Amino acid sequence: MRIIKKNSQLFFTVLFFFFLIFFGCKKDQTAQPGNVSTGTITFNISHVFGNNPLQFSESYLTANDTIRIQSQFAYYFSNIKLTKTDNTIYSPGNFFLVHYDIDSQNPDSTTITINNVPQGDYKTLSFVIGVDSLHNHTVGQTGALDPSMGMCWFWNTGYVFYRLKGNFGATNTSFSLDLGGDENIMSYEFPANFSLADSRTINIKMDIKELFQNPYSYNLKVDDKDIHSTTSKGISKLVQNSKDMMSILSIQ
Amino acid sequence: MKVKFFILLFLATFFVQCRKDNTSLPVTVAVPFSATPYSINYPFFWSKVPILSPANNPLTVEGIALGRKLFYDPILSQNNTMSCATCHNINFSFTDSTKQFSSGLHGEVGKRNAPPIFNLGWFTNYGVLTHQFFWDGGASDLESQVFGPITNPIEMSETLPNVLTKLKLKSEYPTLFKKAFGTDSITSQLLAFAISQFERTIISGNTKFDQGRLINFSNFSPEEMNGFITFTSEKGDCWHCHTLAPPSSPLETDFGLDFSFHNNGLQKIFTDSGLARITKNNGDLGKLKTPSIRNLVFTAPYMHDGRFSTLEQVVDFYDAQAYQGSNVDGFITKNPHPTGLNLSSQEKRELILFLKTLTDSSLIVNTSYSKP
Repeated sequence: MRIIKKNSQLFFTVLFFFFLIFFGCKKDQTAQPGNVSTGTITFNISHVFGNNPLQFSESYLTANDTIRIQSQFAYYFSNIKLTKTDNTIYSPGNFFLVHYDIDSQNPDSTTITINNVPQGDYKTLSFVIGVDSLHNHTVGQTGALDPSMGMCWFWNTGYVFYRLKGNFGATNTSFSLDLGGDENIMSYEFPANFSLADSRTINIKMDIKELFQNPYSYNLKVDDKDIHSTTSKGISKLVQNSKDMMSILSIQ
Repeated sequence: MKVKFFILLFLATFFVQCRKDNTSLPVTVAVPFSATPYSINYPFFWSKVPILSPANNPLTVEGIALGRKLFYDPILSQNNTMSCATCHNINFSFTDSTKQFSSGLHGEVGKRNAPPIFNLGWFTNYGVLTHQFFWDGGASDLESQVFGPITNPIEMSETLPNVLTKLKLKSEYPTLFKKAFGTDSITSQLLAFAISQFERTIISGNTKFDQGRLINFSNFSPEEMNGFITFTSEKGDCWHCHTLAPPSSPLETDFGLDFSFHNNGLQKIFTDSGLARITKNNGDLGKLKTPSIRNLVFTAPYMHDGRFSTLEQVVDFYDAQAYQGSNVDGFITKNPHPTGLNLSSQEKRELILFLKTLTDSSLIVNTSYSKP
């Protein structure tokens, strides 16, 4: 039986290769769809604290404290939506993790690129800082959402949308803010009038100082200085403050 | 095997043979990977409600075998001394012996009793995007639950990057991951996928009770039958949360739990906020997951904090010791003190005899679940 089996395998193998030679290969001469009508958009996000570029070694002033952002600064940039003047929407669906720790280069800016964006006239850009609820209730995921990235809560399943760690005041008291939870997703929408041919750069500013002001003057001495769950009271203050955190500087 | 061989051969030819002439890039037709599908052999009626695995993590023979190996491998802990099985011991229906609280790697103890592992595949009955695992529902699905104990400093105390590095360096794992998932690139996701697959196959339903369901409980003693009647009557009223169909019902889905959370009047002051930690709703304070009423002989001590070491204590508690606060479940408060359930000592004894009919002794000796 074994031998017959082997022989028949051999027979079929030979047969397959014959098929291949006759039918297997054709030159693909059709043009690839997509490279005629798409372009690239680069988001150049500068991280600032007030008027100063973010540096781990610097001290910054809020209304209440001197603060230093050290060791970790990270966030998810996702749900990018570009709306054309004809109201069609392009949404690549990617998640981007922007992550700096103490060993990182200066955290003053980052670049995020999306390819295959349909060419044409656009009017609106929206995105979120965070992870949408569809992806926020399981962490067995890959890529930017890989739990090895250290941006997950395992005892209340979900992602840390925004992380800021450092210290404040004369005594260098440490603080650690992990913002997350479906209700705390930070959504932004901006008018963005531009025409996309090959490529565009959208310059965005993230002003971290805005987290600590307007409408709430966030005081690390009084409000939560450590947030590691969605139940912290401070989280909703910070998230409400975050509405002015992002802005578009220019589109080139 | 033969069919698979030819499919692979056929697909392989795409890789070997075809290249576009105008570019130097190979055609990107990936060889579809296929592991051996695994079908669950359901006991009794359980196949009427089949387990639903996530679409991206179907059960396969190779995935389950890998998950089983990982479940028993202390490599997942920081100093390679603790595995999942350390606190989820098959001899005790996958609980931690008779310990009230489990000890972690560095000797610290937690504040909750290690729950058993069986019939977890049905926990999707809690609903999508909700709270399936941990006593307070802190993990929304099995694939997410896996990471909690591994990374908790008072449990296995390891980081995911370290676990992955160790697995990559141990000779057999890249091969086993390749067999199970078609890639030897070991990721956190695949680690969770494999362990979840193994855990979904741990099914326990082979009990005197389940056998009795098929033969109108003619295998029950009169005392056991009386206990069953108390359990499912308004008097004992156990069955609203520990769901079992009454004796006269036809074949039913006797899960022994209701896939829900209740405040059972255990805590006067909430030392464990329970589900409220997750939902932030004060109405959920003290609500904890209904544990299964199955295999109690193996799972002592009882309650989320393991405060009761015997079933007699548990029955006495429900009979007349539960707190009656406003947040306590209606099924508890509807029988107010001082009478409570007003069970006689004979009724209590019969109830416990009945509970013992829900013992699956084949679970703890099942060689498909034991250390490979």
